[in-house]
Amino acid sequence: MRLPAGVRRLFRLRDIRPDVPGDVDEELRYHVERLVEELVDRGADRAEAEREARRRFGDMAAYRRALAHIDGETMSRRRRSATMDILWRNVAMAVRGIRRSPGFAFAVITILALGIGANAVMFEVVDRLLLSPPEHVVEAHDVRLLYLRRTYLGSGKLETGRTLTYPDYQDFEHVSGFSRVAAYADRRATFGRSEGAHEIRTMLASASLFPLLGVRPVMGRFFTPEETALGANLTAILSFEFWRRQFGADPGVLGSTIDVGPGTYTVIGVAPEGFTGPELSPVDVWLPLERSQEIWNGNIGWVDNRNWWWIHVVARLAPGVTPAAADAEATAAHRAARQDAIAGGDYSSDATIVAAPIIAGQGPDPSAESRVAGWLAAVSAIVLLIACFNVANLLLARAARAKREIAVRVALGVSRRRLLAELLTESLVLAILSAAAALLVARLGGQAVQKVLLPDVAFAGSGLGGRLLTFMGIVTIVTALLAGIVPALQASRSDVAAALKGGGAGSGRARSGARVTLLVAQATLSVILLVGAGLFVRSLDRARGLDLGFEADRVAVVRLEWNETLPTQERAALYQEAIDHVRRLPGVRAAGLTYTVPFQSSVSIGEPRVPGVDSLPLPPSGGPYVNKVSSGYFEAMGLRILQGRALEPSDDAEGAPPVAVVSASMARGIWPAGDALGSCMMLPDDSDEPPCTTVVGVVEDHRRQELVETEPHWLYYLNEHHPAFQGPPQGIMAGTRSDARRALRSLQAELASLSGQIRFVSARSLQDNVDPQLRSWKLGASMFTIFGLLALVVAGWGLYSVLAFEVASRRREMGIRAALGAGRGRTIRLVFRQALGLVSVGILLGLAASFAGARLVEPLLFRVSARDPAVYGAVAVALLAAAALAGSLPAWRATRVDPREALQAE
Amino acid sequence: MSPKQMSLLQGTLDVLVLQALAGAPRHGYGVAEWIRRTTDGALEIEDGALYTSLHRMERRGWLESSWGTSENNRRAKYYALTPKGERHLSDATQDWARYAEAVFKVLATRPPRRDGGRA
Repeated sequence: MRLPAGVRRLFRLRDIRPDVPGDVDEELRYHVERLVEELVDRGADRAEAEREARRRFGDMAAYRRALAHIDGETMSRRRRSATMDILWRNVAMAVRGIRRSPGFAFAVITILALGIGANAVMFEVVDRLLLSPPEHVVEAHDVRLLYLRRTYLGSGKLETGRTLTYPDYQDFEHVSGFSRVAAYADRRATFGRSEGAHEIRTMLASASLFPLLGVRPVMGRFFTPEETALGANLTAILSFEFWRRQFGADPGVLGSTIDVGPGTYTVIGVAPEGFTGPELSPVDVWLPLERSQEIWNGNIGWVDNRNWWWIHVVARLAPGVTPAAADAEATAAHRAARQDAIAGGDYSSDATIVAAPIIAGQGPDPSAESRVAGWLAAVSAIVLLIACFNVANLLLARAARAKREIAVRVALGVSRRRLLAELLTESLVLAILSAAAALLVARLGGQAVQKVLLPDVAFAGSGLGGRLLTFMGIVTIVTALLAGIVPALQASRSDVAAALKGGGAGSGRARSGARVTLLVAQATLSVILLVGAGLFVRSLDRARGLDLGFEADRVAVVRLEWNETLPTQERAALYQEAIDHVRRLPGVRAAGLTYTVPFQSSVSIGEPRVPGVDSLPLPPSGGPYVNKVSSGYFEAMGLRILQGRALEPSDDAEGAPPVAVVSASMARGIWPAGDALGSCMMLPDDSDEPPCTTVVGVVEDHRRQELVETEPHWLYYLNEHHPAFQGPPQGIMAGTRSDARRALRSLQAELASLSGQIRFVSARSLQDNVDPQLRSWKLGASMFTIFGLLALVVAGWGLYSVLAFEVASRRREMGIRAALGAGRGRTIRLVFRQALGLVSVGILLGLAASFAGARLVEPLLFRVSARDPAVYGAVAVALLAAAALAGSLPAWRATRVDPREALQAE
Repeated sequence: MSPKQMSLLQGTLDVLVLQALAGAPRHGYGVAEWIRRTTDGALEIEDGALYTSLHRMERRGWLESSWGTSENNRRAKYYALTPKGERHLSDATQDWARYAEAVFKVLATRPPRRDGGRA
């Protein structure tokens, strides 16, 4: 049954803030009045009637309260359902709109999906490197990585590093500010024997590491202090991924034995999935620290040697202790233990221990990748901005086309606020659909970035984390607002009368200021991204093309892995035999034995004494660094001899006179007159009068450890059996005729069958030592380039669509012009002028912004100024070319306008 | 009335009120009048309970209310059935009919004789 019409109209008014208690009172009053009247009619007197009426009603006050309460609930329910209705209606409208123009929707969703996806990819990287502690660390904010900061005596430079000595680690155990300390070191080692043996990543860990981090094993247990001690039985813990990969997740793996490096270990436990210790690089097997170092080195010299730097230390703060207080205490302990050396001038007096957050990216020595990652996150945000501006432009264009329709709706009474809500809902629906597509982009892109550009970082496995989804949710909402707010505001404020009157020709004629601004903004941001791309690409290029001194890609580093019991003399003899075989291989030019490997290991045994020179003018890099090599080394490495000679087979023999070849910078420093040859060097040993080592040659400098070395380091090379140096060779450097990577197989095959004592032959190109240092520039170059090109394409396409729209809306004018005989050239020039004009403003702004922000990005580059004019110029040209391209199709279309057609339309 | 009878009456009262509104919208007093007339005064309802029933059914969406002018030219709150309310009324009517039929069936059977003689 319907209520009378008048009642219904009144009903609509009721939505405005009804007075619930007042209504209830009025309703009940009416009832009471009617009852009283009836009783009075029946003969009662007024006062009696009123009393009776109230009695019949019951407890008036209580009912009033109850009824008001019920009505309150009715109101809330109605409001809620009304809101849901509006929301649902808007969403349904948005979906209908999308289905009506699928091409438009596809374009928008693609652009936004790329923008949101790019941000998701970068978020995962930034989250892992800068925001999240390593997996399975309990109460991570109390776990600290210890850094040593000191001024190096030779260079006078303040350096911060994580590597410490074993005695240093033991000093920290007495620091009350730490409730626990642990030491660890990562190593690559051979797993298995003979066939199928391959390299794995191990981490040597002290027994305290696992309880310190609070991790629990998924099977078995972790090391006891007895098991890591010297002489203990060898035990190992597998990582979850290694257990799955190598053992097929066999639940019976505990108790089985594995061969790792020189030892055979019994598996006692499996670590939980994703656990990588206090750092982020993946680990395959965990080995007991002290015991493994003992068998790997064959000696325990490292136990009390304060010059043997090889471990990292992590500590957990005691409750209530601040990092600063712990720092102070640890520093005091460290200095106290080394006070003799400090007093004697052999160790820095300003050595400080810094207990930094376990998230290494937040510490005092973040990896280059971490720093680049932060920038890339900002870059991906810029890409999203561009995408949003682009979509905003598309929406504006669409709204301009639909001006009439909107005007009609407004005239018919649709409120502006409702229009705004509808348009924003449309943006939100598009954004949500884009986010769904973005998940796909994020998954694929993320895996590519992680595997190719950051292979040394363990990312949490598959699946979408809660943090990522939350982040994407926020980004989606922001995107919807950014892209939709300007078009929505513009559309809802449209001038109704003008739009209705203007018809097709008039509407959209006026240049939308908002669209132009958005375009210029896109161009500016694209310029910034492309400048970044150019700078990183140049850095990578420079770094790759650097002359390292040796030819890294033509040198193979070959190591023999022994059975642990093999005595030292036999190892040396086997290496001698091995190198003979290697030299006979057709692909090998020359080969030499070596003790250290560039970019991998270095040794310094203190300063030699040179008669006639009081003190050696050591360079900032310190040293000098020593290597022990056989003949053939320099030829294999491609190092040129500048004076004198290289080492010859006669120098290799036992009992040969001690000789040395010094690097050019060392020769210049010690013998500035150029008379290094024939001079004498006395290397420090236990005797008072060490024998004279004759300098027989000067070799060119090469980079010792890092690409970024600005000053050459002092290096000198001793012959094989030089008395100052004990220990068998550590590797063979084989100079190959072509790319070293191709020779690895034959090298391994040749040597594997040499002796039963050789467990494994590891061979790698020297370039593999250098490549990790290129990673940060590779990361920057690839991501900036991808993002920059994406931005350029999106912005270019945005420009195209605006120009196309302009041309389309100016058809009449152009038709008239053509009819009056104006040449085609004029129209073309008009279009291009517009395009180039817009883009030029964007280029200027973009270059200015890059120039201003240059100083911030300079530390990340390599030998490239952040204001490199070549890069700036190239970017400007690229953008102008893109603009010309974007304008070419509309310009061509403009010339094709048939004047008759144009004048007839509308 | 005892509490048990009150709650039973509430459910029954709802049905009576819905029926009262089935013909035309009424205000609360009008509903009370209609019930009294139709049952010839046999059912006496507490007014407070009646209004509670009306408001509750409005919350449940069976009734919709609005303010109008009454027959004596004063402002009163009118109630009318919603489609949902109509449906509930027809369901409840059927339930009541079945219920009453069952009860009558039971009451109509002869009780067994209670004298000492043989059956």
